Amino acid sequence: MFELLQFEFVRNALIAGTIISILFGFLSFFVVMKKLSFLTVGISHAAFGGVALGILLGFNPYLTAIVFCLFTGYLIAIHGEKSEYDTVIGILFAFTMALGVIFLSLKKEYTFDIMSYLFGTILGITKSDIMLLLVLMIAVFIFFYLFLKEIIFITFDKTVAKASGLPVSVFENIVIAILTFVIVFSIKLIGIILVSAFLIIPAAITILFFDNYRKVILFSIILNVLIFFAGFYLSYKLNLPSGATIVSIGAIIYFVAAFVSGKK
Amino acid sequence: MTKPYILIEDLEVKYGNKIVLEDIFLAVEKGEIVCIVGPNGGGKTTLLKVILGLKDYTKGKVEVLGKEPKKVEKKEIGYLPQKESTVANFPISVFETVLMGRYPKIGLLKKPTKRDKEIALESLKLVKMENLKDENINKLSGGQRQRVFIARALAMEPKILILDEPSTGLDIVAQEDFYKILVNIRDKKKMAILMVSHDIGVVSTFVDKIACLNKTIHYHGKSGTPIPNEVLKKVFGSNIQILVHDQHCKGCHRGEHV
Repeated sequence: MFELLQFEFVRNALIAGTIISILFGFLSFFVVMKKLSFLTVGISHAAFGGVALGILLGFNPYLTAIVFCLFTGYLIAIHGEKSEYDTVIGILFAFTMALGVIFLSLKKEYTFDIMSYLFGTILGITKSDIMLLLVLMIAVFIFFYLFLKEIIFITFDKTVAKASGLPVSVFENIVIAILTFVIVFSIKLIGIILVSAFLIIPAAITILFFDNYRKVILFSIILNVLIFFAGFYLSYKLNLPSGATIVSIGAIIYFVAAFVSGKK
Repeated sequence: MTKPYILIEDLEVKYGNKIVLEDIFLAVEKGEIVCIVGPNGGGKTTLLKVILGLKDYTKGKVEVLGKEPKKVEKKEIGYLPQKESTVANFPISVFETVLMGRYPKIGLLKKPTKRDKEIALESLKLVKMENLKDENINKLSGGQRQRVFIARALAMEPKILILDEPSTGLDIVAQEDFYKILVNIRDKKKMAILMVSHDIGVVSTFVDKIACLNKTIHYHGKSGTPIPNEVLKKVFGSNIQILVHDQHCKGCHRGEHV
């Protein structure tokens, strides 16, 4: 494994993977508690439509994916004010994927490797990707440090938080925007299909063992980093796709943990 | 004479074209517990929403702490919703839950001080839950959780406490304990407590005033005096014999049998 570190693209992949693992491990608690798993699936799949639009128009696919996902996140957020998220996500999830297929079919001389967007190209991470992820992580941590008590209150009891005068919608929309940015910037590493699992699995495991949210968040971060490194190492040893290996390890740990804890 | 904390005169509320509340007159003074009873769908929760400034009204006057409901600072009113609105299995202790009640007072970008923690602990003592302060909220019984949520509302140091069906899901013993705690809070904190219930059983012996609501308020009187039968029939329909079972049974609750 260590001989791999002499390659810059491997070092970049490990640094980016560590940043994303920390970020996802942290956000995972809020996603699991607020039952936003399906929302993360909806946003990540919207990226497919965005990537396809970028390919069709000849723009950077990541830029169009960000715009596409933010718009999808916005539609989900304003709809969620009136009713449950599930319905609108279910519709948008299919719609944005359908648009992606249509956009790609319109591109006659299409030679683009869409598989790398669907399942990630971990070894294609550049220094500028790392800088972007680092800035994103710092921004997210500053936001949560400043407003953690309000976000915890809203996550725990939205109705009473609202009745107490907290600006619930503002915070909820910011959290959806944060999730959107984090998902889009992580697609290169993990891929559209797998990214949401990385955001759900860590807290789904740690919540089974800890009854203090600080511990759940801390151990979700640690666990996510460990899952990433274990998956990366195994994918290298067994010559398997890295994103898929990482998510598979996480999922297996979850089922074992659920069985051991006796809660599922 | 000081103004009532909640004053409602000639209120009318509509959902679309349908009138759900009309001719409502109600006053809740400082230091008294008022219970609004009535059947499901009788407009109890709607009336609370009007008082909380969450629902517009079409006619009449509503004053909460001398202001229009929407202009009242939210932190002046402690609110306990009908259905427990917390996320299931949230990993948090009893004390941290109660401390949340301080957050609106503390304000954005500030951390809880020693004083905030003292107030949260005092609130827990008022509901007799201080011994379980480090316990995980998910390990408590329904009655204990309800008391913790009351403590959270108290930690906000509100002038008014509004409770929507607080006894739902509690057995008769837990209900009695709960109402006794409310009486204790009223006496110590001198706040106005307004609650709604579809059951006029146990609650009637603990509150100061009862109002019977089914679209309009049919009766508004002191607790302990019998509600006229024709009022009960109008409000609840024909099943009222069961509902009034211990209406006159003062001193009939646990440990006070004659």
